[in-house]
Amino acid sequence: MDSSNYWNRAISRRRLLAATAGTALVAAVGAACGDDDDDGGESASSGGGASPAAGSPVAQQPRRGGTIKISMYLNPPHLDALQGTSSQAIPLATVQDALLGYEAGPGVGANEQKLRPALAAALPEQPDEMTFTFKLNPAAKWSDGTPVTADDVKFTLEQIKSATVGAYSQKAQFQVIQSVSAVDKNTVSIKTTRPSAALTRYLSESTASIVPAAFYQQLGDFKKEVVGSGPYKLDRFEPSVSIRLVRNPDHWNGSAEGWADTIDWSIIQEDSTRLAAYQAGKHDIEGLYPFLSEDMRKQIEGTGTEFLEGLTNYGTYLIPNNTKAPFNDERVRKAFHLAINRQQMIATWGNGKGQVNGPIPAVYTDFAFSQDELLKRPGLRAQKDQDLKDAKALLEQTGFESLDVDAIGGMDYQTAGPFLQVARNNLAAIGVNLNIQLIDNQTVLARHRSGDFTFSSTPHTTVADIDGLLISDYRSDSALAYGRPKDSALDLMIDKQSQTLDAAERKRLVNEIQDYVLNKAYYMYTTDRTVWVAYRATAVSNFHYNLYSRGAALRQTWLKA
Amino acid sequence: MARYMARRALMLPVLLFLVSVAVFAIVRLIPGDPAESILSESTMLRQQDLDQLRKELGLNDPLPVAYGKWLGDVVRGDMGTSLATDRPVTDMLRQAIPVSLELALFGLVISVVTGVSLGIVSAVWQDSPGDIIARLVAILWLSLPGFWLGTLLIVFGARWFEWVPPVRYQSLADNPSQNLELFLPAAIVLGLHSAAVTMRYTRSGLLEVLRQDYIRTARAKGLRDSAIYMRHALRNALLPVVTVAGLQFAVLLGGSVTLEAVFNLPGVGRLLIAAIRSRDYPVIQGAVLYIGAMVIFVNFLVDLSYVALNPRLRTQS
Repeated sequence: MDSSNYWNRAISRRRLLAATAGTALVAAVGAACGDDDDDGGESASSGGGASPAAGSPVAQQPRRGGTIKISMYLNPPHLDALQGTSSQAIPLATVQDALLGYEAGPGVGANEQKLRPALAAALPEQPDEMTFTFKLNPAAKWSDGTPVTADDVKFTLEQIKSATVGAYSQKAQFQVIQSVSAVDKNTVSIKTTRPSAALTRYLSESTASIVPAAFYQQLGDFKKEVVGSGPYKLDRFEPSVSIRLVRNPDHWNGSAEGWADTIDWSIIQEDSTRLAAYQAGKHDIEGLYPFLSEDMRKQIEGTGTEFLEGLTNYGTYLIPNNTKAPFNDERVRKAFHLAINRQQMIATWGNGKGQVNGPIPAVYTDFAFSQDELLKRPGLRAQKDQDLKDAKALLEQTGFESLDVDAIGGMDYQTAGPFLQVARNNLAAIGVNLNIQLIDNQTVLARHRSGDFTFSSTPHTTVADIDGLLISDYRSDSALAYGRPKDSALDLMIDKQSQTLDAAERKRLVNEIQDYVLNKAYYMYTTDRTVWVAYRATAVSNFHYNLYSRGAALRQTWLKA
Repeated sequence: MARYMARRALMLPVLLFLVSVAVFAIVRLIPGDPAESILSESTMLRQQDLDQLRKELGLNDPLPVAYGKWLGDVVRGDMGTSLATDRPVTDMLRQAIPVSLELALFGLVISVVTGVSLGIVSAVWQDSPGDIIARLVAILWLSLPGFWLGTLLIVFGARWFEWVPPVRYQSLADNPSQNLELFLPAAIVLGLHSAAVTMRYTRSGLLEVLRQDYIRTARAKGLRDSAIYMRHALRNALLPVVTVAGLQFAVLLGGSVTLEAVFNLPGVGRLLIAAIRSRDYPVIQGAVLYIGAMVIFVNFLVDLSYVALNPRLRTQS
């Protein structure tokens, strides 16, 4: 049998409908027996079409018209980006603008954080360390044609800062803002309570999208309706079903973005269904949320698909409860850190593709230690003999001959279970028995917050700036510092980098923090795996994925004739 | 008869009240709460923010006070507002119930038609090759999980035929053809699983009845086989089938969680799972109360149908 033809043959839908469910089942069961071999042959022959990350040159003229069809796992409960998370705001990134945004396009890496002006005409001026002055693009207009003003920016930022229910995630980031004033119609001045190295990045998030004050006040929120300044307008939002966006024909920047007539997001939460729908040609882009793993990528190879490669937007920690025995003993934490084999995690979970993470995950390319630097450090080395020897010695010093440790992980987190299993095997080599319990995610969160756990594994989504990461994971007053470091010296180091505006000096301070927390082993860092975003190259042009711009990349995407 | 029905009807509100108490209490026993969920993707968070949100959501109210407030609203037709979506729970249920109802109805029709037909064939031609094949098919349908069959249908449909059912829900009124194209595969998967149960009940019921004296008498009187099977045997054999079909229908009205996920149907099952994951108390309470009400109500109808179908019960009651 010619296996490649067998897997790829296309039969008309009418023929399928003519077939009975019974024969389909029998055929499926029969064919499933030969899956592995045949699939492998197909993958090899198709070559996969994997392309380099964002960076391919734009060879064609933009073309107007058509519908870009995308599916996503996300089921946004509402459309108010100010009250949601950045992932909920992905579909709205073509509808709304923040003051700044992130570049995506030729020459910009998939994980690169390159700021660009959005509603602002340029990056902010800083007359002093605690003042940010933004000049708005005078051409910017809301979708109803009224101009975007400094008062709208002032209203938005004050709205976020004083937010009540459901908007705390953004609120905390903006507490550094002391006041916002509209200097004139197109100039906004933001005064902060202290120097803030992270503020411009926070202002670039889609959760800080500027809203028209008049509309927002009139509607009370944007949960069902949205008015924005982007090239697309909301046409229809059917909760749990779809989000349909249509091009704003009068967009103020219409000659540069917003090529397709419609962007149609289907909400499909089941992975196999979403991939099958892509395979059957129902969608043009797959993997904006969530990303495609290696296995998922293989499933849709060979369908005229190109893949853009990047790192995940979350790192997974193994979390010891630092306030509880045995992890209140630094030597035990260090022994765990030394024993865990990150290369095995990459091999088993990432199918051999990924990077070892230090305290600052690899995805933060500006601040993370390079792989070369990381792999020289104890515990993170590829060669584990010395690490295991040191780990055993440390445990012996503590007087533990063997150790039973209960570990929890969220069953819905893709990484929690596999990482804990690798850790269990690694730790067995130094006489530690890890009892793993995979439970409901919300229960894990609740136990993290209450401190009712000994050891855990959980992923955490990256934030716009490492300042947020350091504060949430390490600051003594953070409710998200599940490991409970409670280290005042570390608090001071975090505050210092937070207020250092000089990029080189800040990087130096962040490196110091990384070395400090590695030495303390407050958490055990694991790995970041390689992931992909797919698009149908026969249909879609100029799609350049970037982790931070996410949905905004669709502004520049058009459909081929 | 009237007294029997009245007694049953009077039990309904009592049962519903008990369900509401149980739901309200059990939901709050699960670790985690809506505030934790709402802030689960927060990037910077202090304990005081969490405490403040709990206060604003009314999560600090004593349980009896919170239950009293909720029940008072429910009696007035207000099931509260979702903490995750800020939409009224009644609106969310109004959107989800027709989806689960349609799937349940289609599934039931397929289940009853297929199951009863196979059951009759199997019983009438007992131990024949047809009977053996029917029983094997029933065991196969019963043993294959619906979500697995559904996934196979979708995955291999896409791989071999570049076909999947429509992945976007359209109501029957808005787009009948797309609606049927989406619901039929799901209903077939759902219905065949239930049909296996129906088939086995029909077969065993019919075999038992066919051995009764009155069937022998009917044969002795020279009645045609079709009249014996359809008029005398099947009606009596179907009593347990009605019970089983009724119970299956009641459960399906609450949504088939796995099939709704596989076929991307925004029904009650998916709504409930999402609500549980986000600890959205008002939605969980509303959805479970609806499911409880459906089970109780359909059971009531099954009881009534029993009386209608079985004259002996009429006399006893």
